[in-house]
Amino acid sequence: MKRLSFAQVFSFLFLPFLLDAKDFRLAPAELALEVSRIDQILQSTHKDNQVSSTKTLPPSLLVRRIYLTAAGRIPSYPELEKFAPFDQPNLKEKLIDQLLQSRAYESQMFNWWADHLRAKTFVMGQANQIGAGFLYVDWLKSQVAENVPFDEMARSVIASEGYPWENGAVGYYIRDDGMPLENMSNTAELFLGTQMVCAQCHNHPFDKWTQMEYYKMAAHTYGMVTRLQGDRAGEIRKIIKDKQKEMGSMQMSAMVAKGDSKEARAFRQALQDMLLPLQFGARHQDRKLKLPHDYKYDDAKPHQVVQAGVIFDSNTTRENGELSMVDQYANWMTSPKNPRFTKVIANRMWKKVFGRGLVEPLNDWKDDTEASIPPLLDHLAELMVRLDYDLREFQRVLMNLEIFEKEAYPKELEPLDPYLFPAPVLTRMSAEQLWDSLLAIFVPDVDQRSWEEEVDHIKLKKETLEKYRQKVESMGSAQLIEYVRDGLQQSLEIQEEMNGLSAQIKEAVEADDREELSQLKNRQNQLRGRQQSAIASLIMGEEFDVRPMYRNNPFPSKKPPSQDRKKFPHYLRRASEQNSPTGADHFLREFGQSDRELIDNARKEASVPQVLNLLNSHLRWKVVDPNSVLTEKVIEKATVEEKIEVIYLGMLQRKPTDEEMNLCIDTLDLGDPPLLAAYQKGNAPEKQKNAEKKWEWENKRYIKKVHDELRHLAWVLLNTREFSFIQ
Amino acid sequence: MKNSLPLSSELDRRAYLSLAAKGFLGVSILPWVTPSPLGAAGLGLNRPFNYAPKAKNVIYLYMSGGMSHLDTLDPKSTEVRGPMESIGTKTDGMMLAETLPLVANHSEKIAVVRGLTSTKGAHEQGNYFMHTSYDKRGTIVHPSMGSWVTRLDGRFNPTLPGAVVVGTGNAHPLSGFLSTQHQPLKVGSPGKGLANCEHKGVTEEKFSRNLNLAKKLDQSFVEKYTLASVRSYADMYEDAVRLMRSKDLDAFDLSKEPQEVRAAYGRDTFGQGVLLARRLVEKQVRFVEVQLGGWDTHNNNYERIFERCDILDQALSALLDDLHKRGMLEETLVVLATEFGRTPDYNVNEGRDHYPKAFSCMLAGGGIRGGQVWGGTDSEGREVVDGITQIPDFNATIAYALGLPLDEIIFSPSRRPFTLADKGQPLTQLF
Repeated sequence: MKRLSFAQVFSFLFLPFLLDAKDFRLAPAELALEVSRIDQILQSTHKDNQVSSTKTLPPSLLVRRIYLTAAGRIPSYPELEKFAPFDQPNLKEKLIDQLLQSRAYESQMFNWWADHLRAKTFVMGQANQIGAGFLYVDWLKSQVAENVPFDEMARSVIASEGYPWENGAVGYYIRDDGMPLENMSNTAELFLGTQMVCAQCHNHPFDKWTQMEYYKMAAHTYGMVTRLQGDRAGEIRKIIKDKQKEMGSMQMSAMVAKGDSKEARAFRQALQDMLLPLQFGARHQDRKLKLPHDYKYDDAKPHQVVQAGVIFDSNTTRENGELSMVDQYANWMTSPKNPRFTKVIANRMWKKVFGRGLVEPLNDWKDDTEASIPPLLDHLAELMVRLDYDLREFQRVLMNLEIFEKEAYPKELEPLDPYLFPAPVLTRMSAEQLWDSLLAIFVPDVDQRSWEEEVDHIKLKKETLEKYRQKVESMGSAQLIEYVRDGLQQSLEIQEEMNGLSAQIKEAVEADDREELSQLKNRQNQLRGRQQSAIASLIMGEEFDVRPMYRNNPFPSKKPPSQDRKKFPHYLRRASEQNSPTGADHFLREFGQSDRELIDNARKEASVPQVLNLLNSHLRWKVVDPNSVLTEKVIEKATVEEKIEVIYLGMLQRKPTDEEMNLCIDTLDLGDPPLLAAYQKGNAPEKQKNAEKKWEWENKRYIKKVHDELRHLAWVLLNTREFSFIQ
Repeated sequence: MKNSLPLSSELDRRAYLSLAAKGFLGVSILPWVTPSPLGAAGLGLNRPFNYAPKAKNVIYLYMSGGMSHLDTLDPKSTEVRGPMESIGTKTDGMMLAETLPLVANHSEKIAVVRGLTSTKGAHEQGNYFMHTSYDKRGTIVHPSMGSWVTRLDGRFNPTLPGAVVVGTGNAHPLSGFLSTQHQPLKVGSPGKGLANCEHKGVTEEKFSRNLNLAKKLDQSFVEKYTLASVRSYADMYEDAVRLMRSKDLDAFDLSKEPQEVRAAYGRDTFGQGVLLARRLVEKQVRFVEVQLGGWDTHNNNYERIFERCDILDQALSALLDDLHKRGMLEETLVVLATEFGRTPDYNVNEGRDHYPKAFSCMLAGGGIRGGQVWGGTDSEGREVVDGITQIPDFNATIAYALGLPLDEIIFSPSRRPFTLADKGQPLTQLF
């Protein structure tokens, strides 16, 4: 109750301001109450078990922790400077609120979501040609920006329907195209924290799940189809067949699906290209799941159809005639009465903030799983429901807890040790935190940066696809065939040209002529692009540019790059604005960014390439190059000591100790500043001006040397554990 | 005098390596070689007394996603195979699918293992099991084979990493619970080699000075947090600096290869990765794994298998050829592995689904007798009917080829006992 009074004071002080901040669910007094309840549970646990906490973090390091948790990066020097000397009342509470409402929060939450929803910019197979992954990622960003509650997000992905540009959530199924059983295992792992995947082939060896239960679960979403144009294509084929009988036309017969003539292949290709933009999405259908051929248990026979069934009783009425099977499933999954759903997400969020779950591991819950502090997890689950699964509000409560202010726990924890959370666990920054922090040191307005050309392109892509959909849907199949036939000749001509190129490419490969090869390949890609969009162009008319449908990269910009872009090329944007995931040799991947193949798949182990990166990559100088935000501040300061302090504050968010300061000054080759007096001494008054000039010149040289050496200091701090770990 | 005895020749090999390293470096204690390589402590009961291991290093090609046994190493009748043809090889009775015509020309070098079976039908679990011989559990990460090799048998090249993995995602268990000294180095794209290996624009003197300063300034933090996660970075800094100063760093640079050799392996990432593996093994890196993904052929199996096999066939055949010509095949074990096979029945999307019950892998070189097929499946490739082989057995065979002690118990930090292939028994008949 002691804390409550303090918090109440705070809430009265800030109530007028916070009425504006209407997006927060909890009023300050309510927040304080929730915080104190959890603080009390922790305090009594620590008291009963005689666990003592660590020291309270110094304020500037608390700011560092708050930034890393809420904004996903360290504060820049100018941001940190605003708080000095860190004596404002309620600094912590204010900063948490401010950051949770910033774009930086969205950025780091996107990373979390992308890791958990396995959101990939580039999906496998043909769906990638229309950029289904881009649209999935784009959708996810919009949801995070709107702070859509967790249960609603879960329902959105599980029961998603539509085309990817209408509802990007369908990307959740498109990314697992052709793998409905794996998709279900992932859904169960993400939302129920249980690994059913082993039960796909046999009863689970270490868990209670039977193969039958697995199939019953999978039966819910087995009807989720991701290929939408099957009917249309079938209809078109049928019309052609009928027409062919009717007309006996040779040309038509060549077009029939099974023919192997040049025309037949071109026709099929053209038809496919025409329908491709409308091919992928998600729709709930009635499709029956059968047991596998080698089903070996007594309760059913191989190949028997499986009725959908759930693995926990959650007292929700699943059977609702008006809802599709998938909708019923989504409702069951996300019901607050589902015993797992809420606890699993509460535990995930706890780990996100404090570095370790109350239940470990996160994705292997069993019936007898116990939290390290059982009443706390129960309480958090209730809180999650009370907050309507608002993850931002939930994290707001956690970040305001007393233990959040503590120094990280300094002792080794074994994976199974029940940890009672006297303090947060020491963790290395995630790959994203590290990359974003590096950027924050030297890139101004780092949260506001994206690759605008790409953002615009995605918008254009969505609009183009929607117009195309409307047009095609307004047409009958017979009409579409006419278009295909009209465009066939053009398509064939392009094909001829491409065949010619293929021969040249083969020659170039043999001659190993790299330049020629890349030119030829470029031309071939252009031709394929033209061929692919030929029919769509006919349908939409000359004026309409259909290329954005088939193309994921923005068109090359005609504008010369701006000054800002020259200083800070667009690759210097936050992790959330990069491809998801980045390429295998990107900084982010080397530091363990999730590859988006499995849920919660980011890693934090040390590796040699990471070290090589910190030691030698070009980024090490960027931090203190002439354009750097930090450099600007270093220059402003007059003395070497002040400059060193700026670098320390800008990178580690603390001042150096006296010992460290001395060590820096002794080790770095800084030399002594030239003294003006020494130059003036003994000179006649008329020669004073010359002496001063000489001094000025020497002084400039000295400053340059100092700055040069301070670059090395920044490099040195970058290569400390203190930089990359969150204390 | 006693050199003809297998055991002593094994000891001699180790003694020689150790002495060679001493002479070469002028040091007597090599921290990267396991303690007392000459002592009997490292020799477990399963140490092969009647077999002198020939393999020194391993090139491990991993087909990620589940390579269809039916369309590669274990072709069946047409109903099962679909339109795929089988082809004969130089070896009587060894048939392969037509997807591997170039490998078929090297049949006298390879041993096909057709009796593999597992119960792990999901990628994550299957992949993990193949790499570690243990079930994936949430509470511990087991080491992968490359890390076991350096843990039990040390590095041969003191400046290069003991193990390297090319082209893998995040799921790789790497060194698991073993210390990070045994962590395989991950290479993202082989064509680019190892990035950031030079301290351009910084003199050696300043580089060393900076490293020292970093160490001193970091001291209070490192002393406060004496945790494995923090300490492991110290190991990595040592390794990284040693690597930067290695005279063998060129091994990572594929541009040092003649164009025709690069072309022979295939211009794709996998082919270049396999070439990189050969270069590294040449410099005595102990275990190089190269992954080729895309084998999860749930859709359009036929087309996609051809696409994958084109890449695999070219790289693998080039590797066998190259190792043979360089006289390296005897001391280099080549392994082709995957997590599971694919269903004999085609699904509605003309694909094949996961099938752990029966699948195939392959071994070559490193003392393996070529031109043999071990184990077999029924006429449809559904059940193993002959020479059933569990995954730990297969991994034990790799260890046997290297002469590693199969029963040496290594404790995890949580004091749980583990051996490198769990309870697997080697297929000694393959040698």
